[in-house]
Amino acid sequence: MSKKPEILSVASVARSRLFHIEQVDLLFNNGREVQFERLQSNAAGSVLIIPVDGDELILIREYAVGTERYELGFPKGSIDPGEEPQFAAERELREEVGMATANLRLLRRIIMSPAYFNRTTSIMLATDLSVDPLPGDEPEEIQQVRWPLSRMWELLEHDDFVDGCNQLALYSLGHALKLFPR
Amino acid sequence: MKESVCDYLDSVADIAIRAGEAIMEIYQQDFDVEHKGDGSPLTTADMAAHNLIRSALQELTPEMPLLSEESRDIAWQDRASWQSYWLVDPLDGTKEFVNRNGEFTVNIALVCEQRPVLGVVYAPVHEILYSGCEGSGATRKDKDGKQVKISVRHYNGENPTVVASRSHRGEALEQAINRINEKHGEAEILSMGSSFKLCLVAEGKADIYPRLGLTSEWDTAAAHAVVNAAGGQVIDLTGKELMYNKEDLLNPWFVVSDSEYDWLPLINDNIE
Repeated sequence: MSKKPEILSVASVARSRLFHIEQVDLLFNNGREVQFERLQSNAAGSVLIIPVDGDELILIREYAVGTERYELGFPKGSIDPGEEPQFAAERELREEVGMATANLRLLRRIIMSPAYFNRTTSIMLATDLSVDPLPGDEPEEIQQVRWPLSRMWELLEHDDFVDGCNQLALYSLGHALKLFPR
Repeated sequence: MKESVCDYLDSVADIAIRAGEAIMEIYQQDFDVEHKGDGSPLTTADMAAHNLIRSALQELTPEMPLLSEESRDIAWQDRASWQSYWLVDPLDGTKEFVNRNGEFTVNIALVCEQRPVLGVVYAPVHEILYSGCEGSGATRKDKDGKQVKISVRHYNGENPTVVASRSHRGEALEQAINRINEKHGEAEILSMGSSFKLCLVAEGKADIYPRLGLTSEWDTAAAHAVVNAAGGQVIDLTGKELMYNKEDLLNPWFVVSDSEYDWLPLINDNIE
């Protein structure tokens, strides 16, 4: 895998409020020409925050229109243009969980679907929490679920804990704490 | 650098004691326990100790980098190449400080190749100083100036002494203590604040301190060095010794004990 394919042209094919789809013509080294599509994003990436209060994880149950269900997961959100990931994480945590953190650390940076999307999600751990809500843009009050750290791996079998990013966040935390699923 | 890192012990102990005095000047004033955040007595004491330790260590070893809880935002790219560095928590036990129970500590560790080789833990209210260095053993010095050698005790199979909070324990720890009680008879529980807890194992007052919760590297490094020098160990639940200068600066769940009796099967059972 030495030389990358050459990008012959990039064209904008659709644009909505949130999504911008591009069509990319490529020439591979073996002479094959193909056409791919990808999503462009104007957001600077996103953050996912794992809030730990004492020996409990704080999860939220939020409506996801993709699956048309309430999904269990960690608070997350987009980084505003010009915003530092750390500030975005602190803001999202206050908006979605109503807590401020005095200790935020980066566990991992991931890209969920590099085949058609170049957007980094920073997985962060938030501890030393204190009540400090900030009004956000959520359409309804978000339900919180407290989950003991000692039973963290049971989440993997939970039917509404299916978001890949959330599952990876859980593994990242386990890796840091040297706790592994059976 | 001196010939042996242990030659730094006296200087580092002196720095920790001076930092403790700086904290005590603020601790002895009347203050409102509700007042936290910038400019609070807690923050002021923390920063006073941090600044004193930073400049004193810089004078002692000008080339050696320093990571402190109060200066923790040093980028991983900059830290990754550190062979040796000072790892400091100028005031561990903020709750203990605010609640005025005196169980807070000043912590200075020297980490070499990711292992804590020298550590000093000083409790300024009680004027107790624990220190330890790899190869030269561990000591405890009391208010009266008497210094004694300390070592972990080897578990004798009878009712063990466990370091744990009396009130808030969390599910994993509660179950671990239940299993210890079932196997070895009702455990005696010793409660204490801050890094003092590791030192209780180091000086042979307790058999085990299971910490099934989140801590940061600066919370444990100094006391970890004391425990090692006293013949004990600080290991994660897979049995590996805790390492320092990791990217996330987060400790795994850990167990402090002597290295002969294997407590892990009792601690680990319910971690699924």
